[in-house]
Amino acid sequence: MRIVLLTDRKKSRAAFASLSRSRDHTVEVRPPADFKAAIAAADRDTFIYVDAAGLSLASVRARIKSLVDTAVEGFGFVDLTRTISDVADLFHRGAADYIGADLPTGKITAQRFARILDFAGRKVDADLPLLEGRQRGMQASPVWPPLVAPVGSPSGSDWNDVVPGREYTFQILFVGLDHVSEMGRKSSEELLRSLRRTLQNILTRAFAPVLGRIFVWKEDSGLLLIPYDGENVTALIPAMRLVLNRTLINIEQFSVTTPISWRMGLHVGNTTYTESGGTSAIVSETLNFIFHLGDKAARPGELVVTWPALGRVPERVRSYFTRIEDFEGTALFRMKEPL
Amino acid sequence: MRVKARLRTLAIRALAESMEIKTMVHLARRFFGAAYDLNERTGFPHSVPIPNRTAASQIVDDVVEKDLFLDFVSNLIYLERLGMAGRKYRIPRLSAIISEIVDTGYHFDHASGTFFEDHSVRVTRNWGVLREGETHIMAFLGVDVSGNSELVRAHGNEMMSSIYRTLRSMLTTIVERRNGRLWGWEGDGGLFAFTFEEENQRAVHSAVEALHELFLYNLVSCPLPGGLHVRFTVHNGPCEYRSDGTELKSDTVKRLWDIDDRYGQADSVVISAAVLPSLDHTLSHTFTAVKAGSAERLHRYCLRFES
Repeated sequence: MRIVLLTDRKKSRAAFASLSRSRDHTVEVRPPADFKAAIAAADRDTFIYVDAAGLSLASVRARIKSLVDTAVEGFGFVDLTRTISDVADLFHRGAADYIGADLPTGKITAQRFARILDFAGRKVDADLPLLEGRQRGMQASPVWPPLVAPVGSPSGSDWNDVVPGREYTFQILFVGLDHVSEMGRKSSEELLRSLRRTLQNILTRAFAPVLGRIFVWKEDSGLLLIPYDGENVTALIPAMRLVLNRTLINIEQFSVTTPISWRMGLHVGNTTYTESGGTSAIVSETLNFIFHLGDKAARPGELVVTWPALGRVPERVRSYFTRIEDFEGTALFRMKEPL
Repeated sequence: MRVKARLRTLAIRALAESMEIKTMVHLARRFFGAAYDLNERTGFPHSVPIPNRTAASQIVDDVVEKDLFLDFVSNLIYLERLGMAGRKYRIPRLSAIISEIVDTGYHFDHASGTFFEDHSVRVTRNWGVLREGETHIMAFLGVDVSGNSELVRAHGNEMMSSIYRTLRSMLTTIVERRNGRLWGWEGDGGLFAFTFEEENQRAVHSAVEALHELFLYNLVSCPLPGGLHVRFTVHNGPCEYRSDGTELKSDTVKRLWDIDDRYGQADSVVISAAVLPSLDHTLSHTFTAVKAGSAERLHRYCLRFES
């Protein structure tokens, strides 16, 4: 855990001496004036301590408000000068720790901090879904849209009962190679063909554990069908894995100097299943929708997921997605960009 | 490596038909030193010329006996590509020899010019080619679960052992895909080794992928309420191979655990100074210096998301 201590007081720094020796945590001391910069750079692996020395009650509350709205793991106050009179009020407003003047120097140990993290984590869980958006950096609209079951017959958890020519509900993933026209100007047709082949191989391998199959492929984009059991969306984790490992995939598998980017869109919807080669005759509202989604709503490198798909993954997976503008009347979410 | 009769015959014919005795002896002395005396080995007096086939047969027998056959074939490949003493040699039946070796579960790595065991066929801790006492430059990936004692206290030995087995299996798959090997695993952590070409890159790529995989595991599969948190450390240096595992006490490995102990952080990969320059810039720029002004010059990668 990265612990950011906002203070310019030597005594406050000394209080963290023991914790700064812990191998599981780093203590970063910054001047109080860095408050805004510190919370801007904070993430879920950050715990912020604010030194209350010299702060008015209004300033303390303003800082609490900013910290609650930030995606930090938790925050606390150091109050060696006894500035804060109502300590309980800090906890009511969302703080996870208070270091008062009576705490002996060096007593903020790794063990104590582990308890604080545990407390901060429990507090977040208890407040879900209300605090989910604020604590985990999601848009401040934590109430999930209602989840309506797709009309149609789910394909089942594998391909065994899927009959060509019949319509089923599948997990459908759009994948499109980005910046193709730009690459076309700079690269040979042979290189582009090789990039497309490589991308298709990567997709085949990535979605094999969830029994995904390339269903349609048109030049630089295509659709994968993944069986759907009517309850669980299994294709999201392999898609997230492709986003996380994008740099490694570029280095190890594409082996070109310009990084290759691809965008993805995941949805749950209906289509008639046909064997390879017979897809050109399919007329499907869902397929049109998902091609539009991939072409218009997903920006280069992004993974966007419709609510019918995201609503069927565990809650903690959803916290890595942020709601964006609805697309053709469907709630849409984008995976947060790994930094 | 067990060399079958057909492979041995192919090698003898390739050697006999591609060079004269003098060159054969020169080649053999690369393996056995300057004292190698072909006449003494074959029993022919110095006054009597040794037939090519007999000379080749003796040399091949000697390299097989000393378990140097793969190195010998690598040398033949090198000889055909680049020659020796300014002269190139065409080695007949070289493709057939390579195919035979591949069929026994090895593959030839063109970048390093070395045969390795094919990990889809067989996995041994020395890649089938490291020899006792040889020193190699190696990269090591150390894996250490954060807060193991607390986890065992809270969740019991049985549950944690099962989780650690899952972790070990997940990491081994990631590492072996990059031709790394598990060199040691004790309860809550282990050591993976990489050598030959691009060992630093392969170790760091494995560590970064493992960190991502662990993140996904914590999201959907990990039974621990707070997830499993692991420190990854990559360091490189010389290491003398010992089949009994005593190389795990080498200075390079000790240094790795020292880095882990002092600078390792849960959910992050720490790499030493010598490793960073080997990385592609698109990956190296995602690492940050561990401590400004630190003489250690370590770098750390954490998985962070936009807020």
